[in-house]
Amino acid sequence: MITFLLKRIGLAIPTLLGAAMLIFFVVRLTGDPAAILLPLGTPESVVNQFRIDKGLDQPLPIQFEHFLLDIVRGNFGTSIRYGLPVSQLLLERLPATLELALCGIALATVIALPLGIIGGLRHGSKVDYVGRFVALGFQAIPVFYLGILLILIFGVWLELLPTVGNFGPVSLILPSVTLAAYLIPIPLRVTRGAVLDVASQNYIRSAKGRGIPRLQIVLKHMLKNSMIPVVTVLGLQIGASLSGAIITEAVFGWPGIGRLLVDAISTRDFPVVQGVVIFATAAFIVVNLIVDVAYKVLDPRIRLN
Amino acid sequence: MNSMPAPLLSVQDLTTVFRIRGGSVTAVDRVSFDIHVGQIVGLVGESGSGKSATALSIAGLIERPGFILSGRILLDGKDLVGLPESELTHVRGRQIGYVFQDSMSSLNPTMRIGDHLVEVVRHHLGLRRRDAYNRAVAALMEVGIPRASERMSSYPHEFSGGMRQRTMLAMAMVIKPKLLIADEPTTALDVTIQAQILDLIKDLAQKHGTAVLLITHDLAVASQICDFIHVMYAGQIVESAPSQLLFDRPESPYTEGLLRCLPDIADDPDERFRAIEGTPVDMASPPAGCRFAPRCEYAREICVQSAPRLSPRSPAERMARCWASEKGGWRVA
Amino acid sequence: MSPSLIEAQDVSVRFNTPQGRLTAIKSVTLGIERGECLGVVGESGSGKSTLARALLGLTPVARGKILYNGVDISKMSPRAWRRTRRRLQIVFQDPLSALNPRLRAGEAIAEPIRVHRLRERRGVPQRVGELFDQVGLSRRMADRFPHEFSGGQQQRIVIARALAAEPEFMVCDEPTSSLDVSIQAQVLGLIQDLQRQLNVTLLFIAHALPVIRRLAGRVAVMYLGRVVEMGSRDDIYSRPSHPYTLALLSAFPATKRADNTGHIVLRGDLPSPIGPPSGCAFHTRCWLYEMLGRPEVCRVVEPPLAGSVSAVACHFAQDARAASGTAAS
Repeated sequence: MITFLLKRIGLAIPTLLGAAMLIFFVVRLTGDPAAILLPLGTPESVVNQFRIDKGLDQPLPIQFEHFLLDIVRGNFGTSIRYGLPVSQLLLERLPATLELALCGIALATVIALPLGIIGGLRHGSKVDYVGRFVALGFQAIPVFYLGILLILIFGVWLELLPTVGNFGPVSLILPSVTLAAYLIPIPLRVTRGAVLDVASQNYIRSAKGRGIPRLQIVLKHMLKNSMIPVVTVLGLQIGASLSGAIITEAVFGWPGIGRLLVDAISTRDFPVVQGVVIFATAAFIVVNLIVDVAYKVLDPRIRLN
Repeated sequence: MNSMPAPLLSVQDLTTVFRIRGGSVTAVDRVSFDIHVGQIVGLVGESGSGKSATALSIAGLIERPGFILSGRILLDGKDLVGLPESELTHVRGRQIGYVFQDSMSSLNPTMRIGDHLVEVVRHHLGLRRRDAYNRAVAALMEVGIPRASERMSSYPHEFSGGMRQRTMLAMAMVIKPKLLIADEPTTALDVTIQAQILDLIKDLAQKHGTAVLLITHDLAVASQICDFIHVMYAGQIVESAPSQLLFDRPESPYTEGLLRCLPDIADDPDERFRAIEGTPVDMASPPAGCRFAPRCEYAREICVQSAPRLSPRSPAERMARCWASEKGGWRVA
Repeated sequence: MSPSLIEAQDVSVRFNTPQGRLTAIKSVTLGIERGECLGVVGESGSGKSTLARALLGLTPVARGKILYNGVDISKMSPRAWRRTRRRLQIVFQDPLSALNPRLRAGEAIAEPIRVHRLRERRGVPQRVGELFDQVGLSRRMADRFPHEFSGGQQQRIVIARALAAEPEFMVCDEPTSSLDVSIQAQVLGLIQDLQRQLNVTLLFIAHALPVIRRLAGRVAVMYLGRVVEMGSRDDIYSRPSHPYTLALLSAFPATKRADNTGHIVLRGDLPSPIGPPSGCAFHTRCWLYEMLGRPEVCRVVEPPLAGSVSAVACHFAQDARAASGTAAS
């Protein structure tokens, strides 16, 4: 296990490096931040000075080198727009995103897993159809559309819930529901499929042949085995919640990292974009690592190989 | 007064049906037979004969789209057909042990071997963990697994095929059932291991006084340990006889054909292979007359028109389903 | 030029696995002559399937040579090898997975004919029809897909497809193991007929001795990657010399024996090919070893395959023969 972990951490470094390189060069293709941030009509000399100040005039490789060196020292650069360190901006907004992500994931899990399990155990039943309908429905509706729809119904017509910004736990409701809707379909279907698959396995029939009661079979034999693919998918969903969060935060004006990223992209605030993307990549790598470890814990066939 | 004791298991006119698209298939067609305490009975047939469906019906393991249509299954006088599931779980595993064919897929891959055994013991006998554990180790030793206590913490995929099958036997026998149903227990195994497993089944049965129902497609396997054999074809029993009599003098053409297919060391090796012509019956629409008639070399008009019934032969325990071998029939055995 | 069509000279095949180095076959030397049928018998881990694949050039050998018509196949030019390939065919155990589920039966059989250009375009359908007849299938079934056939029929299609390439050498790797008993006899009978009619050289692999008795002229018995006994059919079935062969013969049905005397049951499991037992690989399960009081030589020295016409690898082959007189009936 230790060697496995060390190997994976070792692999993480080139991955992050690759991600950093990719985002670094790609984002600079989007254009000139000076042109966006400075008002029209600013004299050329001021614009140039602006560029020199922000280090944008230097050749790309040199910029990249500085960038890497800075990262090693823990410095993710300074926001062109705000003038504040990127790390500070990130940390300020991280809690909000975590709140939203956790709520969204929790809500999605609480709905998707039971529906999926029951749907798999009693496939063809009403519960199964409800589950599949829900999965299909939520998969089909675009996140932003659902978000706006919810705002319209609950915020404007019914005036029940707040729609913009973070003003306490109540504000969390609509964004979480929206994010949850985005996250539900895949775990639901994977769980259902996994349970169906396990239920048809010979060892389940064999346990029945030994007189083990149905409930015990479901809880003890089926669940553990069906959870293996589900855990993988849940891990991926955590990563997906990041991208879902971006849109959700944008729609609801939720002051998290996603919103930060969207704003930074439109203002071409390179350092912020880089910082957020690298952070997201690192988070994804960590989550994947946890999923792989969980995989090994759950399935002894993988562990012992 | 010397009356025959009541049988342990009495299957009477059992009919099991599977619903398929556009109709139904009668996998088990009015099958009747008895098993006495301590007896080893073989149910022999090829694919589609209904032997596995019969065994699953006895253990109450038939699932949709199959169901038991009619008949009785008396275990110690109590009818298992129609029993609610809550009562059946007490019969299964406790009074009837079931060993499945494919031992690899019949064991939960994420559960240790020891846990499989302890689970069964605790559920049926209600023992404490410590006692259940010891029973489990004893069971593994009894089936010949070396270093049994170490092996309790192994996973199924760490065992060889032979060891897994032994484990399956241990799981079935640990609570000493009255009847052991072994469904093709040797099919996936190597030849030298097959012999071991069959001997083990016989030993365990004798030691614990357990009756055995052995399901197999291989007459040779059945010949090794069975006292009595029923041959099935197309959902029906076509012949029943004590083992040795069956081999010495088969009364049904199908049995005769099967025996011919078996290689014998005394045969002339340069002879051609002798096979049964034709293909097995389409169970969705079986023929009206004798089901074996299309493939039978002794078939006559009456065979195609009218289905023979299972009727006695001599000596008393023998039965066969064939017009030709009945009294006054045209086939000289 | 040697009379052998295919020959293995001191061949060893090894694999590296996460658990260690696996020796699938060790120092196997045998030759198959034109027109003969060699039976190879062994259980799991015996290396019989690996041997077949090595002979067909499907598995690289770690040591030794495979010769086809006297030519080392690893030294052949790619062109020559492609031409040779067609003459080597194999029939596997599971016909359903050997057949492309999307190809109709007729198409599957026609494919080798077309690929190797054995007939002109116009002549293909007729040749396919001939092959159908040869394997006993109705020509009208040519339009059906594999899953619409029964197991025995599927295997006939596989055999027809192999014959379509007009092979010189065919390997049958347990072709009937997954079939019902009555169908097994049909397919084996078919193979028997074809072998006689077409004079194809055959390597028949089986996991038990009864199956190949009527097919093989010579038999090689393998255990854990080594050939432990080899000889003519009569040698093996009537005068076996190796304790393992004797145990395998016990697997013959006892139906026509009056009782089960001579019923040898080996103890223990098949050892793993990774880290095989020292000395004679069979000693851990050998009944003769026990009977002779566990002689040290069996643990320490690996017995060579000795003998000219019939060969056996056992330190105590004579004792085995003597014991077999009393043990097997």
